[in-house]
Amino acid sequence: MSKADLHVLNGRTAGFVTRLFAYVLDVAVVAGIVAIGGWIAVLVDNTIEQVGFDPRVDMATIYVGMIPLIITLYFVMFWSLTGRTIGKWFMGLRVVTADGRSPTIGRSIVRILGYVVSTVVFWGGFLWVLVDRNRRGWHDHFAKTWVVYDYSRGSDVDPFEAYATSDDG
Amino acid sequence: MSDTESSPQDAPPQVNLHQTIVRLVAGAIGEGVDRLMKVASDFDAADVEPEAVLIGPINADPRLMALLGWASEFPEFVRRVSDSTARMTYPFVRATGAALDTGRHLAQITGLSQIVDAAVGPFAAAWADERERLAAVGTAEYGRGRVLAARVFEQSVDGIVGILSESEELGELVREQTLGVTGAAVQEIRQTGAAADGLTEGIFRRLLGRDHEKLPPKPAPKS
Repeated sequence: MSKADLHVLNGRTAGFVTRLFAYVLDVAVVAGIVAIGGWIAVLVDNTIEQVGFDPRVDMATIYVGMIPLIITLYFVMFWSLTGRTIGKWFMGLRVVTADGRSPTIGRSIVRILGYVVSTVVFWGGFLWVLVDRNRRGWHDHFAKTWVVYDYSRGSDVDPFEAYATSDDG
Repeated sequence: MSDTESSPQDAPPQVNLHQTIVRLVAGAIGEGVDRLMKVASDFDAADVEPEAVLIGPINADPRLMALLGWASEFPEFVRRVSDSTARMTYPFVRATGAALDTGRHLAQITGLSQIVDAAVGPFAAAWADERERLAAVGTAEYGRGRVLAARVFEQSVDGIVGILSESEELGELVREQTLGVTGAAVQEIRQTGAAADGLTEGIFRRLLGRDHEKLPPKPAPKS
């Protein structure tokens, strides 16, 4: 497989494989966060049991209920603040709106809900990236976002600036 | 920040791998020797039984004991050195042994040995007692030497690790190398991923009978 010219791709919409890698990395990171949180929950649970706190609080149930919130917070926070999660940062991707900015919190929430929809239909919403003219998944359409290659170092660099001055090829 | 501090001459020097390693190794050896001397001095100043340090008429210098003990921590090295020495000196030892045997035979034949035994015998008996006493002290010292060697070794290793961890040059070097390698690896992954994007998309689009552009599209500009 020949190597891609990252400079040329900068600012253009990202494809399925790169996005899949980024997604897998994010899942791994979130799994790590959830695992650490679970460990803390177990510690708290043991402490409560030793102290003999009454009424008994079932930390396991509470924590399992919090997991969707943790996942949502992770994605929404990163998308709305920097436009890139850790996985997307690693793979050189950025989520942007039509004006090149990071999505707002509202759009990010819509996008994470779009993730749910894309997932429950046998990941059809993610696979849609392969056939969509603009390489957008269902969640991108819902939230009116694009995922572009962004190999710039800082988060303050406008990814549109890169291809605005580049040759369209 | 003053003008002097911001001048170009004060820019951080270029890190050179070989120079850095040589400087660090030299520094580590110097530090190791210093520590060895310090540990030996501490040992000397410690509350030890004087007669345990005395070996016969010789007052064993704790530094010497430390060096001997340190060497004993490397039995393989010692064994190789002794083997090599034995191989090199074997012909001379053999020749010397043959000469002594010949001399002893000649002395017995001529009766000279009886005269020598009578003259040296009392001194030899006295020396045998002293030799046994020294052997006993030496055996006791060997255990102490090993303990001291272990302490020296431990502190020396600590010192070297300390030097390495405190070295700004080495830290900078490791940082640069790590960043360089990591950056290259990330670049490789990104390039491969981007190439796979186009390839995968091309396959799917051909299967669906759709056009496939060489370059991916840009996001639609805001109208």
